[in-house]
Amino acid sequence: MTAPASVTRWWGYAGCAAVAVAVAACSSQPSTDVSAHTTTQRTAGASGFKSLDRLADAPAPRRIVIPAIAVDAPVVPLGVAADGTVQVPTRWGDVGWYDGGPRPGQPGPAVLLGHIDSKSGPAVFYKLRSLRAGDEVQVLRTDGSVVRFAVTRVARYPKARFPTADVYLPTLHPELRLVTCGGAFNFSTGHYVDNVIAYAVLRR
Amino acid sequence: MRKEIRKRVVAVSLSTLSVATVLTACGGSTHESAPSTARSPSPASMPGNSMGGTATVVSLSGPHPAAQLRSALEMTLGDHVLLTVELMRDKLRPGPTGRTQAAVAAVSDNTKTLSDAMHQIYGARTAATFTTLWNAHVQQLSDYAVALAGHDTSGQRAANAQLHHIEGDLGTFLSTATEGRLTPAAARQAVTMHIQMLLAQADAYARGDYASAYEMETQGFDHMTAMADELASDIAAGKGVPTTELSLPSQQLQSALDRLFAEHMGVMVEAMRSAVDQSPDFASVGATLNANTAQLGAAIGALYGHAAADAFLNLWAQHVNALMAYANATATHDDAAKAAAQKSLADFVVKMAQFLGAATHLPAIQLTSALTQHDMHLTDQIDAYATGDFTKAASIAAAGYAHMFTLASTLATAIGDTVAARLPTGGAQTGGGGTAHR
Repeated sequence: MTAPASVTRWWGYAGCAAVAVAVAACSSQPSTDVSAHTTTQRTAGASGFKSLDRLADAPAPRRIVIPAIAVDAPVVPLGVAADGTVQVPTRWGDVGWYDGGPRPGQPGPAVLLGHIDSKSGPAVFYKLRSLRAGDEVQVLRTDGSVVRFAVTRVARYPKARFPTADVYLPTLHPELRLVTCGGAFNFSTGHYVDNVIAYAVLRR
Repeated sequence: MRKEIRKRVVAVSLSTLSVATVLTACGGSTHESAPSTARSPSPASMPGNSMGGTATVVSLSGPHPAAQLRSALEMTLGDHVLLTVELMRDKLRPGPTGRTQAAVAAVSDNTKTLSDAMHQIYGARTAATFTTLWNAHVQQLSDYAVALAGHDTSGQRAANAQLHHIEGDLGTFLSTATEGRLTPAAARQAVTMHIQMLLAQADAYARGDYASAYEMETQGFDHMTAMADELASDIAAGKGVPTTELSLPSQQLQSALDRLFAEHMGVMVEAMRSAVDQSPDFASVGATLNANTAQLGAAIGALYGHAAADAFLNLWAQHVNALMAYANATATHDDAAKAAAQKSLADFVVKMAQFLGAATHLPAIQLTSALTQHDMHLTDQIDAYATGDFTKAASIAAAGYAHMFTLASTLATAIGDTVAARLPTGGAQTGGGGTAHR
């Protein structure tokens, strides 16, 4: 079968077997910042109804923890560089969050980037390529909350064919993209030729 | 009132399969109804415009046949949930006969749509089997609601027993139709989940737990559209149509917008009717409406950022609030308030067309027409509903529901193009010195 996204949604329901008796305990989607916000929007009557008119504020990411590869690092915001590429962290031990996209826990793909190495040794995402499906990624946020994701796959792409759409285009559910370098190192340019990307979805 | 025969046809022609799947969307059989379109805008301003009896043709002979099949199934199966919920709740609360007849007819039309699709894909014999099973599950769900309303526990048990058998038969049918891509166990589990959600929403509604009833309705809608996605993939694969396009971000965006806009239309209709009926379920349907609005805002936020999402939601709130004001004014026969609501809607259309035009580069006139049409679907259906013309109300609501998929398709394409143009490009330089060189 194909269409893994739809399969994932479908089987998410299949786990909720006792639907008739456990309505409240069986949510169709992972708890997100959206649903948390809207639970406060209940209204008393038609004449007093007020539509939601602003997006829920999600806390910014503060720190990332990936137990499987011993990552426990601060998260800093990143933008777009003058050449159109995404900025990268200025410290080898930091992880950067592309703040032009959603925050971790909001619907959509939150993109986090970290270096694979420095000029003298391994950096924060040195072992990113060894992540396996199911490994947990925790994002600690400025309000003290933690959102947990599960890795679904890890892939490597030539930088010349970076999968921009797969990484940045929105999804309905909260997801993560963890990006670092990989493959061969081009000593003439001083850069790796590939990017390694780990994809993760909100853990149910 | 001028009567006209309205027939909306979603023709899904899978040329690569040598089949033409004809989906008569949301009441596709010949439907005697009379949406009074004296105030209707020109139907030609959006592609595939379906207001007022024009044919909506979704050709799957184009570049994305599997994706178009997915969208068509999302529309029809999602509508099945909304219409069946409406039918079951009609049994749970006393109401005029005309309302019941309209609810029955709407579900019947939806089933006809699905049956026609099965006929075109698999032939008459398979379609006949499907129709028998599908009608049986609708009938038993209706019977269950009748028994529930009458506190007839033995009737509920009887309907449950019948549904249990149908789950197995329908599961086997779907597994066979997908040539085993959907295993019998998986297919049965999916059908069981669908039925259990519909029963659960009715149970909750009957005991006055409207929050749970609407929660289950929403979950049932999401579950069914997910089933549509899976079935589209499996059917297309079985017919040799490539399915890789289904995972393309642009196609996934359209699928997401399909569901969000369709749910908006469905819940908006429910909320407006709840307001007119002064129903005790309004608080819950209002919360459901806001949850859908939040998801739309989140999607805009993911596409364009937080500030744009707030701007969008501010305008969207004007749209929703004006429609609710219109419904309230309809209930109280307050013509001045209705006029004020219509003025607010007209203002919304202009502002939202400007917003979406800037975001997508779609022509403002095209957006203005589409948004106006959407508002008119909603105001016209509540006008008809309030005057007791339930058949007309159902017909207009069906047209509005189908229109959402056209709008979603147009916006998804335009958004995909414009958003893609401003995303970071190329690979990230996240390496320092080559110590990980391999």
